[in-house]
Amino acid sequence: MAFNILIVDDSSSIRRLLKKVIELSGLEVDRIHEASNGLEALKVLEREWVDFIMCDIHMPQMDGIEFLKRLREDEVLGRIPVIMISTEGREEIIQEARKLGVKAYVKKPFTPEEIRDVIEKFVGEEFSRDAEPH
Amino acid sequence: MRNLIRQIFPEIMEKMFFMVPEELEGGTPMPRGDFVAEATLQGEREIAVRILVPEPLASAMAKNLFPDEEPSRERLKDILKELVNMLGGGLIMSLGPGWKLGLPRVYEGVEAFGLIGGIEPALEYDIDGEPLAIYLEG
Repeated sequence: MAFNILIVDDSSSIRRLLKKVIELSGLEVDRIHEASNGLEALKVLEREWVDFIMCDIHMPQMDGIEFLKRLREDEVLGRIPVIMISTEGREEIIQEARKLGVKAYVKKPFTPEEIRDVIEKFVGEEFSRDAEPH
Repeated sequence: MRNLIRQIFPEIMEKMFFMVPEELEGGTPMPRGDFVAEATLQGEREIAVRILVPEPLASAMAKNLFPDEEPSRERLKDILKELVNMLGGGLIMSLGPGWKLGLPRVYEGVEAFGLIGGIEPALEYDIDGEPLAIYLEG
């Protein structure tokens, strides 16, 4: 039961940090894909299936909200669960992200423990119905 | 705005970089630094938030995040971009609706000093023996 995950953040440091936290979380991982903005993430999703996405909001070229909109327009990709991780803590943005199907939200700055707890809870809720991820 | 920064900035340093900033009295005639990280807050007016950071402090932040890596200059700039982004994000959340955060940028050398020259820092900190100064403009 190994997960394929996509991390979308314009900061290579945040991507590396999230990868490290995921690897140390005990979650069984097949592959972790990376993208530095929404456009790149859509390109990754053209060729790779992922079980869930961890996505920033505030990014150049295509931000997280626009990426979510594009994702939800696609019948298949629109089903991929998303965790938002962002400096963006305004209620209206969080509400918009939730309307677009975001399942969990983590505000930066975060501790590795906060990320690990959210992933554990999220994976438990999202994948307990299925024996295995896709 | 200074009080908001006082509330937000130490939390970022502690949570993300495991460092405890000590606020200084201020008034340092020529704060030391190699990088200026900038984010703009756009609302009823535009405010630029700039953080002046010396390279040894940026390196220490990077090493606290990734102890197994000798940080490149790109890594340092990326970390500082994220630092100012988190500070800006915290500020717009506190300022209320109608404020937006611009994309962060990091400057070095003459370009960096052009941004802070002649401006008094709004807040100054000592972080593990290294100085850090925050500037506000607008």
